[in-house]
Amino acid sequence: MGPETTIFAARKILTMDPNRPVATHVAVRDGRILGVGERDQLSGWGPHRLDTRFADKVLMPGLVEGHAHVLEGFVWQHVYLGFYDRRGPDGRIWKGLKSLDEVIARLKTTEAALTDPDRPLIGWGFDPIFLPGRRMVAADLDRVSSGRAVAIIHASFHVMNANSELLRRAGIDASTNVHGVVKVDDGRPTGELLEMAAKFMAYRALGEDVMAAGNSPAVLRRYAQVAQLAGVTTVTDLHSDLSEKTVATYRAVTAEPEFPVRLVPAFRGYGIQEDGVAKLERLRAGNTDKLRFGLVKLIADGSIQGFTGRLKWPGYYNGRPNGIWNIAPEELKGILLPFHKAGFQVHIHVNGDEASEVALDAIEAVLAEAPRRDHRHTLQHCQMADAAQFRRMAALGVAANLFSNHIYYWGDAHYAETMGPDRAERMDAVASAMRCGVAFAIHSDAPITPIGPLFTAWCAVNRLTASGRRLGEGERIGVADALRAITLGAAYTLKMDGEIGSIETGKFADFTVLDADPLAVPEAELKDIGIFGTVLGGRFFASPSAPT
Amino acid sequence: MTPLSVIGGFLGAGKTTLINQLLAEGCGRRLAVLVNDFGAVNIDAALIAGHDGETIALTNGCLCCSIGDSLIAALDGLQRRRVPLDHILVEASGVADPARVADLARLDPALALDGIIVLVDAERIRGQLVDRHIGDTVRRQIDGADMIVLNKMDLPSAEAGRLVLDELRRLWPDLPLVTTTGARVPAAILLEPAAGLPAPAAPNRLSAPADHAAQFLSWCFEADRPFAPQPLAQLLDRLGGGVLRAKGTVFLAGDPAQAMLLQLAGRRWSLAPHPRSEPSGRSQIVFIGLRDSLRPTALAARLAAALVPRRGHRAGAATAFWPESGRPESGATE
Ligand SMILES: [Zn+2]
Ligand SMILES: [Zn+2]
Repeated sequence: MGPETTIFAARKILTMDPNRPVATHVAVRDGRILGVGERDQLSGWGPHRLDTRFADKVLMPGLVEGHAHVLEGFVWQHVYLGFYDRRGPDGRIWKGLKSLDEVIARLKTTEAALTDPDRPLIGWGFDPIFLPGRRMVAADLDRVSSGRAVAIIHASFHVMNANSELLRRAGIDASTNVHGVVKVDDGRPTGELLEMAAKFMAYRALGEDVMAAGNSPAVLRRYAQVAQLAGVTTVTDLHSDLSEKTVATYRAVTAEPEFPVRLVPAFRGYGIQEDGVAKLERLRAGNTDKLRFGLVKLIADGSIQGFTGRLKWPGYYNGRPNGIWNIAPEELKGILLPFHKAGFQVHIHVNGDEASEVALDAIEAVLAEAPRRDHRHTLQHCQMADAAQFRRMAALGVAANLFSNHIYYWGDAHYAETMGPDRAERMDAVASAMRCGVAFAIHSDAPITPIGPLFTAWCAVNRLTASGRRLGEGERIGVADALRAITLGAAYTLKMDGEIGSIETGKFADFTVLDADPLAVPEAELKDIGIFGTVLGGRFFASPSAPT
Repeated sequence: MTPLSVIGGFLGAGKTTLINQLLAEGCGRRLAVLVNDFGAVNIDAALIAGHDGETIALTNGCLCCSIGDSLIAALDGLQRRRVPLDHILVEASGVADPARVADLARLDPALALDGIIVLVDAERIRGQLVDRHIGDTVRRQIDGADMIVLNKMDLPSAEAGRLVLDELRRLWPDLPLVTTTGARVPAAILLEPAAGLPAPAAPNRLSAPADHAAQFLSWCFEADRPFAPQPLAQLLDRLGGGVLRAKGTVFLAGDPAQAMLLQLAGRRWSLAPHPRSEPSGRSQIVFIGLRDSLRPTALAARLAAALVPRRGHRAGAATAFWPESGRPESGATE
């Protein structure tokens, strides 16, 4: 008996390999791609089993989400309150809520099912930007429960609403004079809390830090499931302290045969008490096919919709002061250098164009001191970079992972408030990156926006905002280029393009199984293509037939 | 309520040096210091009583804790240890706005914000203020301060040092400012005075290195008549005159039986019912300030003017007491 070989037959296979862009069969052995082509071209490998369950489906290379967070698996333990429909880990579509009353109604239903009266009720994904009219106040949430603490975490994760009971428990009242506790004229807090006040209250409600809550096995499994449902086979966790507990969880859970994705965590490379290089080297030595350590993540500035991103002149369109640094510009080079010298790849969160400029300065300085080919340091989000910055990136060998989902979710706000019309039109400038020869990917930053590479590709192709405005005709790209960005493009930014991202002999047998051919459907329908399931290392993971 | 102070200032201003000194020298208090970079804190091994991952316990009763991912979680962890603490000091990161960090003390009913002290690098500040990337960050940090510690004054030339002082006083005219080198500032100025009121005849002696002792002055104001609340508040809002710290028991007209606790750190002050009320009716306030600008006589007159007028007498004729022995002794400790 030789090794077992399976040949999958499909209606069409999009390989992302220019030598054989389309095929009908792919042979798999030992979890890897043995060959691609017509069936008779593959039979030379010897006896095989023919698997025809995808005979009327379209296969793509497994989709790669190059920027998302395990936090996505955490939030689903709580009730979703967002404006847009969103698919939960079980495949259920949670209907978007279009008014305050609908939000309260869903909270009431959830509250009624809770048995422990001391347990706080927590909702997430709420975004008042889409709900015109008055803001949510404590009295609204008191209608849900007056005895139970109720906390609503906004989609931004930087704002929250509390009911009167939670305010009382945290000791916040008219005498609390803190920036970030929103008050009415008579001095009483409305229940809306910003930034530090929001973090404090969320901590009080949850008993732990939201951002640090992502390392339980259940959370990780849920995260993988949400990714898998979106057709993803390789997913990042792009900012982790990689504590011993987190690493142990990642090792144990990714080793489960039914864990449906490859996980690529990025180590938070600053503010650390240990030797980060030594730690990453130790972790990398234990890498497996499904768990890859080796990325470093730095956060340079804040967010544009939160007015905390660092912008070059002329700054925010509505006149708000410039944003904040998370790492001082002069520190960046010193933090980068040891990782750079040790051969690690550093991903830097930069939203505003001042932040991307400072990051490029630091990378340039590091390269002058320690020249290194193919470092693939990557600017993440990179929403405001202009052509000149993309040219620098190309010259320095820096990749970009652009936040195309922003165009849909916040494009209208960028147009009217943050950037103004002209700069909003050149945000997340995927076409400029391409024209300048920058290696690029596109991402969701889940849970900030839902994970879904086909949707992200749709954003890059159509550049439509939620209100239907076309934002930046000149930055649109074609479907083929967008599909490359969510496969090989993202794989390149993870230095995994030799193993994933296309259907080629020798790579992992990771496929996304689609109901329709993304190159044949109208561009506007790219996001609506059904995902039948995924294949990871030759093993099929079906999407649950989603109840609605 | 545990008082909490924030130490802010841009990268390289001397925050870690200042914290190292406080921990090493002790300050007569059970102090917990929350720091960003555990590794940079340089504690003499002989002083370490215990070490458990995120916290180092010192033999002098102080704790040093790592902030790690979340300051909120670190503060929570500290409070859950249930060790009695006299003061918590939080080091803000070099790019953080210390006023936003201080919000935590205002949010948490178990904490009371004592003051926000921002260190400034005398050699680099003028360049930093006009730097296109960080100028606004540095200005925001100082905007939120209650007191500036202008550090590294040994580095610029005398002329350059004067220009720095002029610039800071022009931009922040109301902000009390202490100059120093090597981030050396007496604990009595950084932290709320430890014990209760010192006896008027023996005012606070400041623990300061010999070369700095002469910089500070401490004196005491006493009055038997209560203060009028409005004039007192107005006076405290615009105290100026080099006052860095004040603490005392104050009686207000309207409720002369209720002793009030006055605390002042730089331009921040608070007046709250005294936890250990002694209805003596006698107000006593200890002031600590800069020797070269604190004018006890003038300040006593302003304080006396804030007292309720003595019936049948003209206002301002109150009995005030300020000891001539206010001069701190070199190297003396509290
Ligand atoms: Zn980010
Ligand atoms: Zn992110």
